Amino acid sequence: MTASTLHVAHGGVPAGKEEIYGRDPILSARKLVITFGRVVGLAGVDQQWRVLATGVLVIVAVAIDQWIRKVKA
Amino acid sequence: MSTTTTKSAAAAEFARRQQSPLQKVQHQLHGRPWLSPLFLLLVAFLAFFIATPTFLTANSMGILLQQTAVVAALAVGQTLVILTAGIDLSVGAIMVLSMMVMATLSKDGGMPGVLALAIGILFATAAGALNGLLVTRINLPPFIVTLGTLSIFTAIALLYSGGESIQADHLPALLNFLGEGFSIGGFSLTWGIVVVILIYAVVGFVLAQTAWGRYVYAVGDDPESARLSGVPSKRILLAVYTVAGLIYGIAAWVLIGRAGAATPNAVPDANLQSITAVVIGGTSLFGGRGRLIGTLIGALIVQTLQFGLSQMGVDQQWRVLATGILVIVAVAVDQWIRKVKA
Repeated sequence: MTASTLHVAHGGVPAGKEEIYGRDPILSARKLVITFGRVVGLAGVDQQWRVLATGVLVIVAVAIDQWIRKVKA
Repeated sequence: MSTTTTKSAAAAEFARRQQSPLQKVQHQLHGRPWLSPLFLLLVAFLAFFIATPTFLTANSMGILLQQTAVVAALAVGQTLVILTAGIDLSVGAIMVLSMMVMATLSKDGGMPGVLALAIGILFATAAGALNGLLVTRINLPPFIVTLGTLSIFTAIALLYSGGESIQADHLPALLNFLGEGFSIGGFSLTWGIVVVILIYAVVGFVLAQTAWGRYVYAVGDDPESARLSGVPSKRILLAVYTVAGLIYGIAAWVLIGRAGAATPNAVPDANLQSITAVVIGGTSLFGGRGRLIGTLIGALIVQTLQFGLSQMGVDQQWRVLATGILVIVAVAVDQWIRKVKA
């Protein structure tokens, strides 16, 4: 669940608005998440640390999205 | 003045007479959201009694209450959060983190039980406050915040405990105290159940009888209107998440007593069960409507379903499936009841 939400969150797509924003942001977010997972995995990082990092990534991604929206407004 | 009142009362009476029987039921359920879960609980009791006659014995009921205690405690915090139109996906993770802090401090740190308990509950309260700060200060959606902290707290609990369980005999008596029992008329109860009932009494009173409780409902119903009416919405929200954290800490203490050990993989479906209890109990996922008594009935329904199906020998996967269906049905009924407003 975290990974799929992260795809949407990192794509800058609010829940339920995927059609409005198109599919590209989701694809780029998916690439980012996969790359993140591979880099962390290759670095030999422990599973628990990966889970922790994913949690931080979710919150930071959405926080940045909120901040960008404020700048636009 | 009295003529106007009489006229409006007559108009209301006329409108009531115009309602179909189904609309009357809908109206009653809107006014008393706990009625439908109570009916559902009675139906479940009857069904399981017919299926397995040993279901309604004093011994079985005692076990059912003991099993309900942890989810019922978590559901109190979840109710507070859902009343503000939020959701807390980190309930289980906060409880487990708090439990592992209590157990590890007392076993490895040699800390007295009281101090370990206090620090564990403090950790849970701080975790709840962190959720609240992220929701109120950075304006992040509660779903995303608690999804993120679910991963963070789960990972911290595993890292801190090294993934190892700590058995009851390595823990001080105080941490195991809530698992100790007494008997009333054949019902074997534990002090954990008493603590959970106390939590319901205190939080129920605060929600129903204090200004803070009314503010919680107001913030959940319409945050903007609440803010314009002078309600300190953000402070209320922060307090709600912090109090929820405190309750999860107490739930951790109840869990140690119930499980007889502190394990980082305890109650993996705590999130689903607590949300199910709240939603079945008639609290609206859209906030501003619901009662704590409904949550208690909801928690009893969830555990009755699990316990009854287990006694019937139904597989664990089917029990999870049944819980999922219950959530969807409960939300569908809630949507239908809310239409009475329209």
